[in-house]
Amino acid sequence: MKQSQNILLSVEGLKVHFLGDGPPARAVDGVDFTVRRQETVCIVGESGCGKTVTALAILGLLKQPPAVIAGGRITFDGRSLLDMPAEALRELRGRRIGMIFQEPMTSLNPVFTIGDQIGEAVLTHEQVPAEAVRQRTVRLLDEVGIADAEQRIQDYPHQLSGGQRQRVMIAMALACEPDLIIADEPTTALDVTVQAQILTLLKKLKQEKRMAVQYITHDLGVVAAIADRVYVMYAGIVVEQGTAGQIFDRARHPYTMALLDALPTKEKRGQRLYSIPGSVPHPAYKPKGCPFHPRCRYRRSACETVYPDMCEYGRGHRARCPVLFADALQMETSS
Amino acid sequence: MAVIDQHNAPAAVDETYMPPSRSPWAETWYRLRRNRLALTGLVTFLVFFAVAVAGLALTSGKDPILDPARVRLQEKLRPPLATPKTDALRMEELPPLGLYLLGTDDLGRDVFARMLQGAWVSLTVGFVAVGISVSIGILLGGIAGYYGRNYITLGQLLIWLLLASAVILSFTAGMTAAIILAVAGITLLILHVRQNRDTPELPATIRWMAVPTMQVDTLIMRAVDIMLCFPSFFLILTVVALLPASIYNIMAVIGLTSWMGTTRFVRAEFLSLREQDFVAAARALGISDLRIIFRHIMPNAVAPVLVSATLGIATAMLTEAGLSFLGFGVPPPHATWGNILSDGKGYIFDAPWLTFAPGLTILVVVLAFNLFGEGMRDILNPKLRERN
Amino acid sequence: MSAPTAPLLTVEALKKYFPVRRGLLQRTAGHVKAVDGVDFQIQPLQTMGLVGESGCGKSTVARLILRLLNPDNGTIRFDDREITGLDERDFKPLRRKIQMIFQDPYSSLNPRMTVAQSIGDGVRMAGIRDKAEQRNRIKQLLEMVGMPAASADRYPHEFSGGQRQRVGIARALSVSPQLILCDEPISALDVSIQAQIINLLKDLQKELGLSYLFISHDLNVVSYICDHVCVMYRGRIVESAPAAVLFDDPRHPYTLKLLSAVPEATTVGWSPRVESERPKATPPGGCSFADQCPDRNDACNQAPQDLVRVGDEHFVRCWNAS
Repeated sequence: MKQSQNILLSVEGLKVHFLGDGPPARAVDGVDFTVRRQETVCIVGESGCGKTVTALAILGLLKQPPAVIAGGRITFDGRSLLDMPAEALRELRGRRIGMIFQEPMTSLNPVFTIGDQIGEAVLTHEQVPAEAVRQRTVRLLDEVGIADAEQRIQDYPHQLSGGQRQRVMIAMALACEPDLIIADEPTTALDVTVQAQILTLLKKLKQEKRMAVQYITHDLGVVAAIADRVYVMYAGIVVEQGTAGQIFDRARHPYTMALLDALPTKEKRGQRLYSIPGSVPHPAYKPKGCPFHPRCRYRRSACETVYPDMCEYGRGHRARCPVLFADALQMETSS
Repeated sequence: MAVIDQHNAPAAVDETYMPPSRSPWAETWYRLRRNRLALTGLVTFLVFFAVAVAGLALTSGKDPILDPARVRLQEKLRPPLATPKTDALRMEELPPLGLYLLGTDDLGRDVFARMLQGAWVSLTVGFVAVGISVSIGILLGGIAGYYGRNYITLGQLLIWLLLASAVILSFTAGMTAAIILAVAGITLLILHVRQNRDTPELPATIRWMAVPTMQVDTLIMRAVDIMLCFPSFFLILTVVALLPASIYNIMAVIGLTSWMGTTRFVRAEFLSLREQDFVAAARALGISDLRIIFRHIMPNAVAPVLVSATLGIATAMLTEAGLSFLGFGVPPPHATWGNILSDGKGYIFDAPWLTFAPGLTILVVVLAFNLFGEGMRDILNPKLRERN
Repeated sequence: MSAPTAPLLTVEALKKYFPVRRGLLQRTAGHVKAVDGVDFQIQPLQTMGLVGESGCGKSTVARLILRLLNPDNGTIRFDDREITGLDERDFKPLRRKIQMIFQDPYSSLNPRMTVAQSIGDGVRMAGIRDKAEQRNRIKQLLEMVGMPAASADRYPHEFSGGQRQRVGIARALSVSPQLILCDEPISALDVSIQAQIINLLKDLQKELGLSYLFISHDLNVVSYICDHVCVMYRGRIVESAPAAVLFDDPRHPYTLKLLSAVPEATTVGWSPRVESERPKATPPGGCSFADQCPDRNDACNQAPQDLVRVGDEHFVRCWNAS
């Protein structure tokens, strides 16, 4: 029972389809995952795997139409988000769930000072006097590591560097001390040294504020750096889940293994990189059976017709491939 | 062997799991078919085009089938769909349709025939004027966008000034002065060209010719700004008042006073397209400037230009109608929608069809062009497309 | 790769300043020193890495070599011929020898041209006039980059990023170049596609005897593919060394900072060496990294340091390195 109380966000069987010309694009095709309190969960996958759409569905920010939620449940702190009226959802966003997006250049409004924008984030959800808002804004900027916060609240976004803007975005997300922060590729547009600073900041804030982070990225390096638990997505489904150690040291799905093998590193100098043939299927024209089978080096004929089940590898480690470690699986179930 | 090795992995993965293929034009047509308003505009335009061409065939020539100039004073101000009084008319005066489809005007002329004649005028004015303005716009905008950062030298500026003033002077009085200026200009031009061809090092006597004055872009865009300062309708009125009234002058004047928008447009397109990597790649391959402009940049810039041209046709037709309404347009007895409207204004209560027939037609045709243009803008602009 | 052969490309004291214009009259108010004295050589068959963060001038270097921009100072020699002073007519035959692959596979292909037309441009420039021969050559090039011949008559928007990048590579190969400038060729691609393109580049290098200038911010990729690496910071090269040396024994504090910032998928729970973001005020004229450098001393504020040799082919621009 304690386990279920600990769960902050749970997504069960979520399906999001996009209607348009031709067959519906099944961007998210039955996704399950959970985020526990004070936990960093990474959703990792390539572009088009449905990771961003999943986040938008949680936040209720999908444009409907063309998107349709074709099934599933999203529960946040015991309340179902999909049945919630728009007003209540808006109240929840920002107050209990903060968001950080990829483009720090376009996520801030160029005609307001950063002080105004953070202050607005505070005022939208709480009635506080102006002076208190100002103090809180300064404190937030200070917390996200912006020097001379007192002076900088007068600055406009164009006066800040990319890294500083992303810090401001984080300050806005933190404004109401949310329980969960959803960060969608927040460091992809930044230089590596700035990325290192932002990742360190997020780690520190997560500790201090005791909040959970759902971090969406395509960069396995970032995942290894910050994740407590990882979900690997491919073509709209979760293909593997587990702790960072489980995923990186004992990957059990051919896709995860292929991704790790395909990473260039200095240790692999002189060797040929493993490369996954072909490209990600279009969400409206996905292959039958296992969606990864046309690119899989371990595929069998059954993979072309049978949708794979999640296989349990113990201690929360699961992979949607009954083929690769079939022997290991049998051993674990028998023992 | 349960596991398939990597070399047998399917090569045609992408073919099977991709949406079907379409060329950019097929894609445009597909999207146009789904945009009802734009399609309505296009269909209306095609009908109008057919009517105008048919109108030209039916109303021109020595003995036209529908004679827009035939005066029947005994039949004046008949309402639409009225049948002619056969006893009062001679054989050749009878309308060939057997009735006055849109009534008759104060001189008993068949309004339907006059509308048909006017359709052709509106069509040609719209297309020729926009043709002129788009040609100028693409040329100047393309130069400003692609070569804009180059400097004009003092020599070039002087040559063009001399030649231009020679041409202007030859139209007005001073023929001798014009010839002197022209000779001076051509001499300089020859000097300039020879210098450029033979030696890059200029002799001291004409070194001043190579002094840079201003950027090409500055020159062209300031010219645009100056042209935009004139209230264009009054500029047209002034020019039309000075020139002999003829349909060709109207077309030329409308065309020559409405190229500024296209110029700005094309310049902006060129500026952004020339920074694209595919242009850099073409330059790296050593492809000539002309080919880059016409093969690589123009096809990408032409779509938005076509959109603004469509809207421009509607504006040109309105301008022509306005000029004709004010009596500065195509001279009578040739009918245009503008002068039919103008003639009818005195009878608006007695014979409202004289006002409504041309007025509604102008409204419908201009609206059709605007809907089509706006629709095409949405269809051709990938950013707007994503928003839907 | 330290063979005594003549270098294929030599860049010396290359400079490019962009004027910053302000006000109504567009007066020049100052300069952005995009490239501020860059020297390096590329040997035949070598892959030379140029590493740095956005705005350090690494892409400008490529555009200067291709003469898409004109340098303000310095010389570029290709195959022992100086190309900086040549006019367009004399440069034309050399132009084919240097080609470029771009970062963004979406803007590097003309959306209104089919794949065959895009590549055909280069095939024509290579001097193949006969239509059937052109067609054959296009097919051959597509095959070389692993694209089906059927893709020739399709438009770029029908392809994924990786496939477009392959077409861009085929276009660059169409004029049989010796040197290819790769400007972040894989950073816009998906992880699973990156390895495909890296392998393709390596295969082509072996088959066709190409040299690469590999510009990237991704140190993992550079450490895998490059033979020699130059690290750029604010328009200058701060460290230059064979790849193995640079990644095992970096000497410049900026290189150290970069390397420690890269998260590696092999280390779970990494934490970088992060200095305070607050730059210290430094007088102008000194080392350009002095404001962020943890090891700076008085010498750093005095004058910019030259590249100092610290080992076999290993050069560092730092007062503390020698």
